[in-house]
Amino acid sequence: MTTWKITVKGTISFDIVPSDKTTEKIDITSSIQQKFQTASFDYTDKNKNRYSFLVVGNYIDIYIDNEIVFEGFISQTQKSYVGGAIKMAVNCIGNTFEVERYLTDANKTYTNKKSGYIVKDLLDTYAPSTITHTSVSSTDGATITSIVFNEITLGSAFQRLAELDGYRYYIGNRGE
Amino acid sequence: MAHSISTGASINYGYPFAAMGHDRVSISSYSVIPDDGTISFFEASVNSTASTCDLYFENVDGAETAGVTGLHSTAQYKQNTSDTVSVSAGDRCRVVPAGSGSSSTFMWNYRFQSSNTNCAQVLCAYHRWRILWWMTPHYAAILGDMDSEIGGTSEVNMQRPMPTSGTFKNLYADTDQLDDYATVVLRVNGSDTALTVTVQNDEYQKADTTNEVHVDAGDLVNYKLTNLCSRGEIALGITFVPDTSGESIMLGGTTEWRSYADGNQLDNVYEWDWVDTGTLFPNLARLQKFYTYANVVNSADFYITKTDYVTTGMLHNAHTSAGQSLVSDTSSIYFCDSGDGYVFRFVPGGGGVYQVLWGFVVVTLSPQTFTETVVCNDDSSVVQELYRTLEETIVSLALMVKRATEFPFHYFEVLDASQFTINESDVLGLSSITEDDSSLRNHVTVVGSSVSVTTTDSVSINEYGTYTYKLTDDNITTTADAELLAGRILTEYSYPKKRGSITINGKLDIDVAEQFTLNLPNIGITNEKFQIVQYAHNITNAGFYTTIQFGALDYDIAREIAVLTREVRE
Repeated sequence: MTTWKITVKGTISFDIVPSDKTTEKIDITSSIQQKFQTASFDYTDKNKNRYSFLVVGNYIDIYIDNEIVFEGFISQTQKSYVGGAIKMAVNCIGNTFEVERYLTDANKTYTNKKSGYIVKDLLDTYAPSTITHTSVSSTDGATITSIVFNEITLGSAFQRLAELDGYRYYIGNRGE
Repeated sequence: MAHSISTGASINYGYPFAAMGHDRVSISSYSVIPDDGTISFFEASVNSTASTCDLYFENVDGAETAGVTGLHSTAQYKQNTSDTVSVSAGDRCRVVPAGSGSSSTFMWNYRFQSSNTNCAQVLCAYHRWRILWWMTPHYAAILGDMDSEIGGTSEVNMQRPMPTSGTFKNLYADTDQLDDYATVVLRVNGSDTALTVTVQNDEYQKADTTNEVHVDAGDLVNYKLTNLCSRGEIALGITFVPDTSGESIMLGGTTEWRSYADGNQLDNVYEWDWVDTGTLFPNLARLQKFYTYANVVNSADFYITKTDYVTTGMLHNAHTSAGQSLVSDTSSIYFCDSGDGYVFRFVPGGGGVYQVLWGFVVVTLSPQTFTETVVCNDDSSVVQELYRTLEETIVSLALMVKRATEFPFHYFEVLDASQFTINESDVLGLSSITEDDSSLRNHVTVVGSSVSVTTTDSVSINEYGTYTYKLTDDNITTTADAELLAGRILTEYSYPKKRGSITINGKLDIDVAEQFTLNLPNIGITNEKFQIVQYAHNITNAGFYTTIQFGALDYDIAREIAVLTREVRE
């Protein structure tokens, strides 16, 4: 029997679990064409007081069989009032979206550098206190003879590097 | 201007407005309104299964009413969003049941919108004394129904902790007999203030509309009554203007010894065991700034909870030291919804409780809009807060959400080795498996800024013929990088790919881009290696399943449009 749990993290945190009988469907998707993982779930507010905490920006962790399989935040909610209850559709974006929050400068140029070095330098330069890279080595990847980033998101920069060296990237769970 | 909120409850037919929580029956009792304004959005709930009854707010002097009708066992909660009652300072008002609900218990709330001061709140009290004590002061709480026999001569019993700062003004005193007389003064932390009024024995009503008193959160406030006649009753009304727009205060307390868990109505004065009635908050409302001033033997937990006693996540204060102390929680927030009753809950941690006084803040939110979509703003703000517009004011609906400070980034090479095998016995669903030349590229040209490189795969060309592909990317400025990119494209696309999707029981240890082995000999696939291009975990009442797309993504026009849209935005 599969167990699952959705943890909602705001000023007040709470769990949604199967015994609540408030959620009938959870989808978690990861695609090679998407920069970040997505998740969605439905929620019927039977206690009349939880839906207020399912708001855009609140963190969401989803566990399946006690293993965390999704960590991100709510990006969209849709509320409807059906049969005397508030029903919600909640869409979430995974943590890897964090690299979409930062832009490079114009004409940010690297010459004869390994892609791992470039990744670390981009993170140190544009997201120094937010995204850590202890698992990345400056010798990772392929040698890039010259590459220029011109006011693009870090995510787009990493995607370009990945096209050249075949690597992949993601942001792991907080507290790793 | 924004409104404030007031609540009340009664247990008997004909219960007056001011005497919240006590089982008085006198229909002559009333509240005196200290400000001009309107009463609206009357909400009421009944917890009895008695026959149909109605409940009205009545301005006795203005001869206006507004309320709800048809409360009964299958319609225990109702709201009147259309009718309004005008009130003027000095008017006497009450809540009046009608119909056959004589044994029903009611709870209600309504909005007061002052004509004079933004967010002004009306706080009404009712006090009666039975013993002639000319020189002995009596004390009264500023909200609710009081009796001098219940601790009325002990000031601490009637003090209430202020949950927020603001200004008191417009003190009104109204007696029901011409021969009643009394001097009333507002007290803060046990000291007289300038807000005072004396009713002589030949008049009904007096008011102090000149003096104002500012208080801070945590201050203890109450009335002191002196120069009382032998037996009398007095209605007291005062205006409170919070410093924070939109806040209404709710005050209560009890002085009855308890050594076991018990409950009390939130806006009541002294008695326990009012859990079956509770307090009705507006639809929607936010409870916060919870202050408790308690005298405990060892320790005790105090909660605001629903009358079911089991709802968690609501406001909670723990008193961990013996004796009298003030504990506050100014950060927690609880959102309540329509039709539910809420109570003050006490759970002793050893010994008991001599006394507990409390105060908290209620903020009403907008009338509910049940269909709405909120899309995330992709900016990099650290703190997100959502707002709903509520008439003239803006109130916060969502909670302050701080983004985490550190996210671990991973950058890794995809392993070429197969990570797991799916056999026929594992398959719960399988799409058609397609193999075509749609993505075949064996003659690749990469054109960069002043560089151009062409790379070919002769083996592929010999087998399938030439499939040319040209990529133009001005960001490529060197031959080496152009060769690197062309080589990646050849590696990925120089041979036809099989693609499809397969559903298996839920599988967690998989990742996009990694390889797996598919062994389906009955359809001609024997230990072939594929790349995962997408996976989806689906949990429903039927179970947990994982669907893997391999080889290449099926054509999805919605996805293609989304990708194009994103690229245009970038």
